Amino acid sequence: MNREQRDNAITRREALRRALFGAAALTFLRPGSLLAQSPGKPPRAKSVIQIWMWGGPAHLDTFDPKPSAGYDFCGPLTKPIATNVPGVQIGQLLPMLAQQADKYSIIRSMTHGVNAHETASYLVQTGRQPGRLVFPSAGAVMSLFKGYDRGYKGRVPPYIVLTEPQGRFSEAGFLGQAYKPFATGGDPNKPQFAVEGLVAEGISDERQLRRRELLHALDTLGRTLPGNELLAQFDQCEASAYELMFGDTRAVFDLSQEKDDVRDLYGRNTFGQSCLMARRLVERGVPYVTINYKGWDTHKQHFQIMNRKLPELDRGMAALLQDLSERGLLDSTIVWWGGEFGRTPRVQWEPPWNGGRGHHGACFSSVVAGGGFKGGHVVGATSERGEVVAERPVYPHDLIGSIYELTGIDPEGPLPNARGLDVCVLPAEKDGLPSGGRLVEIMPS
Amino acid sequence: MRALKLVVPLVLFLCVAQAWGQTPSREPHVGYIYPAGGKRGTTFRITIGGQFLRGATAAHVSGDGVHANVIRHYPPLRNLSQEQRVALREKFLGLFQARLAEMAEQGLVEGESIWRHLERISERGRRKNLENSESAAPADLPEHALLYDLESKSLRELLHIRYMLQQFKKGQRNAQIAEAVLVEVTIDRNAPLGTRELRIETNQGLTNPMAFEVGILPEIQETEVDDSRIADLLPKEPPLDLPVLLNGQIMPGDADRFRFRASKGQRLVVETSARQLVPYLADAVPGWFQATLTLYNAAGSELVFADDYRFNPDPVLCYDVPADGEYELEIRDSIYRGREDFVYRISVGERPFVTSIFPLGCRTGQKRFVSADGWNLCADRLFIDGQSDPAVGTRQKPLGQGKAASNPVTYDVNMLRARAEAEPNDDVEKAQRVLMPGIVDGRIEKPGDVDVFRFKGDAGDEIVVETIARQLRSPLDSLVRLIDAEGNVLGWNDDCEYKEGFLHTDMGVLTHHADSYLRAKLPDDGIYFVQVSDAQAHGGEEYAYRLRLSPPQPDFELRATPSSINLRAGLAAPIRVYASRKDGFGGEIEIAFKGDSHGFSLGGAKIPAGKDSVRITLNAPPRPLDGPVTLRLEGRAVIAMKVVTRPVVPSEDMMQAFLYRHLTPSQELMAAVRGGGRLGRNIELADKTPIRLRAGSTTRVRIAAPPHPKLREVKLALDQPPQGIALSNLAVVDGGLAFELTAGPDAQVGLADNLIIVVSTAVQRGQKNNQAIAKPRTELVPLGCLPAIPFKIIGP
Repeated sequence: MNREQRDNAITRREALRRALFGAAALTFLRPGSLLAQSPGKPPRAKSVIQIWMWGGPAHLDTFDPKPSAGYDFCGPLTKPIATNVPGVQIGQLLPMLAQQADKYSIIRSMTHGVNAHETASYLVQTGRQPGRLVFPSAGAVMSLFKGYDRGYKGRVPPYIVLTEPQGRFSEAGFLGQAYKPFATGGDPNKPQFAVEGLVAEGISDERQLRRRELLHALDTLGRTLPGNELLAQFDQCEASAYELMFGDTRAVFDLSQEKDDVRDLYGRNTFGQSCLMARRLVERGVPYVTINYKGWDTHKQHFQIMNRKLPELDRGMAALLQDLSERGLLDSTIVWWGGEFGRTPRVQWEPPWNGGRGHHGACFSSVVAGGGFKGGHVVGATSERGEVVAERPVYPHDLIGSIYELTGIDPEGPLPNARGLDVCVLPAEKDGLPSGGRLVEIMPS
Repeated sequence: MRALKLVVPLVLFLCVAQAWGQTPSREPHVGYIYPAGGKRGTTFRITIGGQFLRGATAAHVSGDGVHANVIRHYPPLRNLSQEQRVALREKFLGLFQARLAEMAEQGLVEGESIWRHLERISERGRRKNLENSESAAPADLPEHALLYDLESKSLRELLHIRYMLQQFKKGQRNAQIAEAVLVEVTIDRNAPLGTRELRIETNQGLTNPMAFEVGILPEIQETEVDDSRIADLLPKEPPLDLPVLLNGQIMPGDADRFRFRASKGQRLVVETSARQLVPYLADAVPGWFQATLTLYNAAGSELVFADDYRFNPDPVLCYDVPADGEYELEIRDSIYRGREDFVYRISVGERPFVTSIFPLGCRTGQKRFVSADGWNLCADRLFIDGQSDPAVGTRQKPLGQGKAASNPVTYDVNMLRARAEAEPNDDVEKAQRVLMPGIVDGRIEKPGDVDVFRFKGDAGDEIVVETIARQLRSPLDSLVRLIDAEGNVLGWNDDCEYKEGFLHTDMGVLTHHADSYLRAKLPDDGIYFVQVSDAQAHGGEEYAYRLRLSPPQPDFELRATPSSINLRAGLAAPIRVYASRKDGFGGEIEIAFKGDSHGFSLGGAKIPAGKDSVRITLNAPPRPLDGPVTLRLEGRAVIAMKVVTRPVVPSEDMMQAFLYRHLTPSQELMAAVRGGGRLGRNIELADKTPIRLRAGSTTRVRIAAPPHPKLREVKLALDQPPQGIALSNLAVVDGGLAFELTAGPDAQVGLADNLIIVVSTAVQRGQKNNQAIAKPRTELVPLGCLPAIPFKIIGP
């Protein structure tokens, strides 16, 4: 474990502490009473699975191929493939996703114009321009509107990140710690998925329970103050935490309960098994799951990395869509694929890149499926070489607003917060941000 | 008949370059030089790291008195075989043993204990090796510049080489600096001091230039002994005598320390060259090696620290030595990054160092002394000369000569009459009266100081208010305001920069464009005020500026990239020329050779009116040249009925931190011409230019070329074409080639520019894959360009 991982890791002790803190916060702070649902139609989606392409995936090599742009733009990936939707082509290294194209829509005209990771990540995940306030990510907003404040009863936290924290911005923003995601850590592709705080490698269940007994034996304060309400709450939180660690909840994270052929379908790698894990979580009602899929900041060795990673993405995401669909979960689950920006259409062949792609915020692709989003559509278009938006710009807040609408959150409604800030869920027209409007063309009429 | 020949051509290809695999650019490239300089009158070896350097034949150093010979080229050090690891270990053990024996004989070490440690660290690898291989056969050592002439190395040097080799295992492999060329350099005793440029010539052409410093101080190179137990057992190295110049490379997590002796009362100046050796790194944040310097006393207490010098990332320490004794200097990266191209040179000693001059310039045709302040200076004034070279612009010179020469000082030569600022002039009431047009030499003397000047103007007068400070290395971050007699602020400006997107075209290595520029039309007759201050409310004697108050003086500056150009005989290579237009100058600029053209010509050599950059071509002579030549270009424009000529400054387009780009000036524009153009000679456009392309229609273009069998094999493709322009129907015709240019309906009517057309040839290549020859593939190998084709799009 390197220093950064160590700093980000959550110990068992920390998990218990957070559980206690969270329970206390829920007792004393319930902004849920202030929450307003979308005034429009009833929500279609119950959950969101966000496949976060950390680093920014190349739109030309995935969902916006430009074979006629030439070698300087396409490199060796010059043969896009047909999908099961007539007229829609995607990158040649995504054959399985090509067979699922009727389940998702491609937004080829995403734009924000920012080429820096941190700012672009903030823009794409919050829908906000950087400013004085740090706004919450879509996951934290979902956690607020669909989590414990709105009757979510699950023991698994309502906002999960598989597996590493995103790290480039504060996901919860001014909503505070209670709405931060729970990053599982560990590797679901290993024989034992060592979820931080739940499964500790090297410590048996028996040893952990003996520790608890020892702690109780030393709890002289609790014995001297029987009936104290605060201590009773503490005991309840502790019981909840141990329930999380030893009860049925832990089984959610136990992928050995899945059949081998199902696990194989998703691909025996961290991403594939994360997709499977995400399906298990939404199956149990978790409102928001982010799969933090790293490795897309391909300044160097771009095509080598594409050859290695795109088949992994292809298998995992295609299996997720197929599995959700077959289980009847796709109607109530939005799958959102995308990163903070795209990558430069023109390949940088010169040193030091030697065949790399840089950051490109002028246009990039996102993909949405399920939860009410129609499949088999392409929204917007980029120019001949994929350098700029040619038709129907879609800004991050347009996309997030559409997701919120489908989940029953009013994008223009108030965003309750303990700091008493008078802010809306998303920026409105009066805020002066450019907007292409909600994705009405792929939303239920 | 001629028409028939055009109608029935042998159509080669329908502009289908994209349907073929194209060979990525393999221009030779240099990423670092180590050591990046040397002392006059010495001969030494340097390692030059880069990519595509195979076939290196010569090294070219700008200026006089430096001679460089290539010893050999080394490919990237890839994963070592088992046999090579064993050979390397045995070689080092043998050399360690020999050096220890020599040192023991001299009574310098107790060889037994060090040997045990050396064996131990070597055995670590051996045990691991043996697990993988029962009996490793002897093998040759791997090829690497570090392993050259190992027998001549001292024990410390050997340990340093071992340390560097271990670093390669740890870090990410960086292809752009993985190859090396070993070069022997001789610097004449009387070689001029200062920074030069070094380029490697390979059989693929010239590399980009890299900085190489010629100095006067004795030099040493770092020797890193990373095992503390061995370091403790080695005889302590005597402290260095000053002055000295320290060379080193910072690797990941590295901090290099140097011990020296200093005496009470010495005024030490420690000056670093790091960022100025490699100005920008494309694949690192913040985009350069950010060196820090820390000085410690013998007890290990920190005395002084620096991580920059004013706005310059390269740190300078100035320190009054309080007591005789030993001191230790540490250099590292501010966030402990490191790589082979994190190269540094540090001069340490009672070195002359100018911190400021005043005023910052003189008038053309004038010579004068200006006051100079600093450390260890031989004089308190500097002689500046605007007479021997009357061209306007910035100049550099040191104060003093030879061993007493200071750091280079930058000053300005301007055609306007200058006068000095007179305090008090801190507000409108005390404003200093100035005459237009003119220069005011002033300074923001203390934090919060404001200088106010007043002038009389007439309604409708257009005026320019400009500070020239940061570009002369003044720390001032100026802010100017234009105020009317009623106190209304008519305009203000903090920073002025010339940029195209993320490309900064004017300031080179400066990244904060702190000088101000304001242009305004006066609304009424009357008195106006110009206020100058520091935007960060700093001030001091060194916060000097030149303030220009004048009507617009239309002018321009030119830069061109790249500064090393490789061509094939008879073909062309593109150069982009950038114009920084001053005071509203919008006219056409013609580019031409200054002096000997060496048989080259220019294609499309005009920057159209209103445009800030254009790609032209350098057209090679019909036969290869024996070696690279230096070319000089200049731009000519008519301004106020006079022909104004300005030099074209050769530059490198360097990327900083993945995004920003800067045109960094080079000393020379060099071109190399080799054979193999395959098209014969004297290729030129047969039609009149500019070609008029009618929007929505097709125009046939003819290229005159002598008959040549290879003509049928070439392909043409537009390079970075403007919107709506396409090339098709390439054909061999009587007298050369012909093709069609189509201007689509979306082409921009009125656009005038140059078309750059890349000439490629198809080559069949088999690909080795698991020792089997895979299906042959066709690659397009670019040969060069056609001469630029000027065009204009006209309405349908």
